[in-house]
Amino acid sequence: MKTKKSAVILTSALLMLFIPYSFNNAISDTGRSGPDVLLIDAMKVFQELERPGVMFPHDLHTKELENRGNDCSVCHLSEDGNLVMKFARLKDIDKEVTLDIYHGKCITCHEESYEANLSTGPVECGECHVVEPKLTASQKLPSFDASLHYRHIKAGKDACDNCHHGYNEETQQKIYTKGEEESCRTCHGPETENEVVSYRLAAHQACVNCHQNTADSGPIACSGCHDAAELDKIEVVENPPRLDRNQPDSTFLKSFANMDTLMMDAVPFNHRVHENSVSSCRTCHHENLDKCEKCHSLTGKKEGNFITLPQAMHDEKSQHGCVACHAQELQEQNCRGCHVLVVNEFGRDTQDCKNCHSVSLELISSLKNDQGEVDIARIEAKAARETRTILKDVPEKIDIGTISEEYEAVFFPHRSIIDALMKGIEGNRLAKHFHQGDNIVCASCHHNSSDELLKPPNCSSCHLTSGGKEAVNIPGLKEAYHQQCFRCHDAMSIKEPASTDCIGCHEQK
Amino acid sequence: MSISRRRFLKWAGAANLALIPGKSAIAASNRHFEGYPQGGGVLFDSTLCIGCRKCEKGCNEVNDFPAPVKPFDDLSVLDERRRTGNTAFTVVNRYKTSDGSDTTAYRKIQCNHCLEPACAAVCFVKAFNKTPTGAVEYDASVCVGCRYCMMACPFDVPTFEYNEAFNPRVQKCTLCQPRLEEGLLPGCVEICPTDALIFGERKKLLKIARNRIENHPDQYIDHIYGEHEMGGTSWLYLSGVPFKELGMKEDLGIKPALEFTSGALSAVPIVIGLWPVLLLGMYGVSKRLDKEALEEQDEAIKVSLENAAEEAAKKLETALNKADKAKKREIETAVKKALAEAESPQEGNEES
Repeated sequence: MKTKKSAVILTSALLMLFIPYSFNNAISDTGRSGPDVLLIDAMKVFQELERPGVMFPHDLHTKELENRGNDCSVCHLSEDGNLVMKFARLKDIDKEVTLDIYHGKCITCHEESYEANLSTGPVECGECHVVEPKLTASQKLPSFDASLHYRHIKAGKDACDNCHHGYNEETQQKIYTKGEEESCRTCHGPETENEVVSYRLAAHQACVNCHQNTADSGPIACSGCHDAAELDKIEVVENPPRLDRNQPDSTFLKSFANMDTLMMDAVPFNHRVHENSVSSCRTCHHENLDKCEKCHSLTGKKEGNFITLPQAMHDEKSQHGCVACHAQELQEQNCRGCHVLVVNEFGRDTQDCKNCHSVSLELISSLKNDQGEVDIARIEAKAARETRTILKDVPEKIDIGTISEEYEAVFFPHRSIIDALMKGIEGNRLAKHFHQGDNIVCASCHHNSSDELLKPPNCSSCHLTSGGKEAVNIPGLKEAYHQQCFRCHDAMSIKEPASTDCIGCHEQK
Repeated sequence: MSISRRRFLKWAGAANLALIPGKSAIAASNRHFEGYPQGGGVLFDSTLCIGCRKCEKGCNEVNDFPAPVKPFDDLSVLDERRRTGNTAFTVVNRYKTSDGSDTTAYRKIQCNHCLEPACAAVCFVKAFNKTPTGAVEYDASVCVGCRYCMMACPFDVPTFEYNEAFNPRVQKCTLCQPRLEEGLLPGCVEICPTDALIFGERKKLLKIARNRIENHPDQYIDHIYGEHEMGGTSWLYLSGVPFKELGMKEDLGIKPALEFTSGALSAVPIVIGLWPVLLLGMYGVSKRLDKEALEEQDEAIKVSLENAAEEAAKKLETALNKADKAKKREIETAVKKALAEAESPQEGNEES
């Protein structure tokens, strides 16, 4: 293989020597990485590539054709009024034909342009088929988020079938059923399989053609969708209206089918709120937009890889489930300060279960219909917002003077620290839900004293002023304070004062 | 009691069999040295270290070292790749970590007080000694200054008093063994303001370390450096970034240094024991060969002498025989001649 390759390089090198002329008007497009660069490896559907694929600067060609007053049809054929994404052909039928189309059309055009003294490209084999190409692709994948989706709905005047379609196996026709829209990727996978084209091709066919055929619409050039700077220019609609696909406002996630298999209380799940906090439906509905239990049943199904509903929701790794996604939120700067200190192990405490599993079966069975479910979930959500105890009687400041040696004691602004933490919780719906109960915010510093949070014991009752260093895993008092302060400040990116700046907190004695 | 040839071979065979698997039996066994049961150590938690250099200061004070060139509150030296010296048994360095451009992590360097120290293994005067408290002690009074320990240490810790003209010593952290004996903590541990250093029984420290990793899996690398490295060390390390990023060797393996050489060195007594036997045997054999050669020579001479005498006798006999025959023939000839002479005048007379 290697010898073959080097033979090719050698031959091309020799050929180059005998070329009496060079293209002096060839566009020098070297050493560039762009969103419009694409790899032409069309021959790989027939055989293993003999030469390296061609890095093709697409936008450069579009622009040049435009300058000459030409359009896409120079390179792309049309079918039913739509451009075909393949170069100068409708389908890959024969190896020789495809090969001739590329070599014939590319080289001819380049040569003709040269004769006409226009900007042109290479004609020699090794100039296009480069082993280590200087042109490289750097496409950013656009995110079709709620905002962009809404803008398309608005532009398409609520005609979802502009993009969404199903497929009728019998009639072999695309069909559309309102309320059963799916994500493109539900069917269009990474590679084209039989009649189902790859997601990449499907997206290009749908987007480019629609943008081209619709006046004043989205971009056609590669960079319009794949260049980071261009993507940033796309107007963002704040709080776009909710998508309607007959999804519930809220529902119950049940870990039981009936009374006989009662396991845990149900989880009221506010679907509407979650729609706003994730980037797209696929964050949770990873395969398709069906209900979770369709694949993840209570006992496990083949379609769901035998992952049961409880496993799917409690998996600490999978971002499609509840626990892992919520745990991810703890990395937020506002949350990290406390959560870097407390043990985040899920399920250590039965309170952890009750935080979510809060609706008993009796309550659910007393409800008549789906509307009832919605109502109860709303009640639960409302309760979650209101059960937080308002902090009273906490000291304004604490003077930690007992261990003052080298430096003066720290003026510890106890109240304002709590206020800052509470403010962080206040602005976060998820945080609010999980910080119900009596002064739970206190627990990050006053750890191991959850039963007495309203009047926690002194730190020095466990953290001794001396002798705390013995390996009992309880730091001494000074060390405990330092650890607590430094770790929280680090986690919340509070740079000032630095941990090593003693007089930043202490007065010099 | 006489030993038959068969019995001797049996014994020899059995002895050989016992010798062959001797080496691998140590490795395959589940019994390996895990340190002294109550052996102490220190757990360094890099995530708690703030790089204040207080431990360096504590070490300096308890050891009565001269003040450093840059005072301990100058934190700019943290970015240098400092190593321990004969007047600084511990140093803290700061490392840029891969998880962010401005995030840093600290590493404290000092003697790790290996459970099976390489320095002690190479020392031929037994200047190093692993004590039950966990410290690796150094006895300057027996040290000959060969500095093998410095070459052997996988952590590049021992240093030498090159500037001492007389009796230079190898210097390294003592784990404050004298203080431990008084019931005090090592200097660095005592002064640490965040408990990034905790002293205690190594076994307890391991439990604490595991506990921290388990409770905060997102904050720690799931590895306790020193638990198994080079057979285990009394100093243990926790880190939030890969230990490689703290400049710590990750390729040391889990074998104690002495196991690398124990195989070869265990052959030494055998060689020492066998050489005299072998040489004496060879001497004996060559002596015997000489003696045999002499005996053979004597025999040969004797035989040849005997042969010579016989041959001489034979020769004499033949010579004598020959002489006899010759004489006889001569006599006969003379007789014949005489007879012939006696007859012939008679005939002539008769004719004349």
